[in-house]
Amino acid sequence: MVIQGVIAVLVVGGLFFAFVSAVGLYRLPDLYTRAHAASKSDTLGSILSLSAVALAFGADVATIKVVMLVVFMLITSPTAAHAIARAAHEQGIEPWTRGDDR
Amino acid sequence: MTDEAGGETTAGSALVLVTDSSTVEETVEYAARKVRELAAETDSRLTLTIGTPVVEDVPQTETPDFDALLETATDVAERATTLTDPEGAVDVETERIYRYRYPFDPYEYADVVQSYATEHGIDSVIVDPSHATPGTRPMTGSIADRLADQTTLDVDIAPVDRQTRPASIVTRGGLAQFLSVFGISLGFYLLVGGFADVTFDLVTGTIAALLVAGVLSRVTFERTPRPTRMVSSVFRWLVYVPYLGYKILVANFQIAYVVLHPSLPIDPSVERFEPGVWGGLPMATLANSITLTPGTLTVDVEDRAFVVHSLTAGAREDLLDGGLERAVRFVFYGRSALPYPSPRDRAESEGESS
Amino acid sequence: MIEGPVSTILFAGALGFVTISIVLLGRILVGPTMQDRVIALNVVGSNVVVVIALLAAAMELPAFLDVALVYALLNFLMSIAISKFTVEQGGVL
Repeated sequence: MVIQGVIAVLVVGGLFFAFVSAVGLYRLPDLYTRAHAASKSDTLGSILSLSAVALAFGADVATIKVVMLVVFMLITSPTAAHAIARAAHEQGIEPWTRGDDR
Repeated sequence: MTDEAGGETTAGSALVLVTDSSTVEETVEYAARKVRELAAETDSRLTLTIGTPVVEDVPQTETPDFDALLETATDVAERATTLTDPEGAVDVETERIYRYRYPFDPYEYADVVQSYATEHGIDSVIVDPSHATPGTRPMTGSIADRLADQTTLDVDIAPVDRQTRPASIVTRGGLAQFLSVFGISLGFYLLVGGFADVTFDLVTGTIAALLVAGVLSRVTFERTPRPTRMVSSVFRWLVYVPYLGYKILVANFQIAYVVLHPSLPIDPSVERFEPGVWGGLPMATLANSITLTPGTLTVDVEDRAFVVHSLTAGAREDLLDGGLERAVRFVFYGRSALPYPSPRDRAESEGESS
Repeated sequence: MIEGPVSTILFAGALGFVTISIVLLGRILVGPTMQDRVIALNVVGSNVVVVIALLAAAMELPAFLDVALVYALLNFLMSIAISKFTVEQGGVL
């Protein structure tokens, strides 16, 4: 019963942060700031939801795979955001600053 | 380490560069003999400096054991110079020549060697043919070619048998690397296999892991894995991960607040700063951690400097306070590396000195 | 299929993630730069990974987790490949 509650909280939390990253991707003015939303909120959203999955499986071999998935996302998500931001930087796309039009 | 007792060095003094290679002793011996002969010819007192690529604020756990290496090299040099020359016309000195900056690539390395040599009146440099490339960038040609191209020094490659290392497949370091890669691959294979049919998994997994280790063991590790170091580093990672997790959580609530706030209170800007960590993996860890934590995103690495995009002014302050940098230094260099000036203090002291 | 409150929660979560991903398709269409699209696509990709994992737990099919692992890998490779490709303009990795 307690586990069910924890799973529900984790799923809701994951959805909340996925929602935040989606809103961020729409509202933020340029791609660097959008990369913030994508790399952070989305990572946490995924991790929370995957923790719920791990709890649902309980002590099982599958849980190890979920943990591997979490570690993998933790490493790749910022790396991908960095690679994209870097590509933009090297193409000479200027970051948005206060005072520019949105 | 530069004591003034050495006084003025005479022309003909030499520098020998040592790193963790199998031909270090022969190289030092050759260098010592060469300097001794030169000293006898010109009837003057010469200095042989033994240099290693060590930066002082990178603690010893990160680099090969340069203290032991220097000691061995000094022993060899002193034996070789005093063997036929009891008066000792050659002074042997040891020096960590890259004291202030980690050489990021061979070009910078050559520059550092040049400026050190000019400062100390050294006009020739003796290089170990299997001198490992410093820095994090791959390079074409040997360090000796680079030095010859870029410096005014007289470059001499020690005539030692460099075949000794590549010829034998089963060196101790190579075996350790092979076994580590094999073990990790096999473990991963069994994990993904899910222990359903263990005999089948063991047989196919062993074959696959042998293939992986055979192909990749030489490029997987930057240095030879040692069990004791691995244990302590795993322990430090275990301390670091919860800290990072806490930071990520804070980061996300800040982002959520900023993104969901009706007026979107952001003030993005781009900062450049030189991180207090060296080498590929530590720099990658710090860059990724910066990306994951409050309002900061690593955009690019230009030579030594990180280009960091920050979303809010508060995030910028946090970054320059250097808490995260200190944590990464702890993971890779141990507790002794904890006291370290924050990026802001470093920038200020640089501003004063220049 | 297993009935029960846990799998209902997980199914609902998967549905939420799918909805968010569909909404994000708009950002992929709008752009305006290639990098904007890649960022959004990357987020959609990790949402899909989460959806697969949630379904694996809800339907008690651990084999789906292998699919999720491979998908996460491909998602990462796609981001890296596209950003590398746009930097070197037609250059090979």
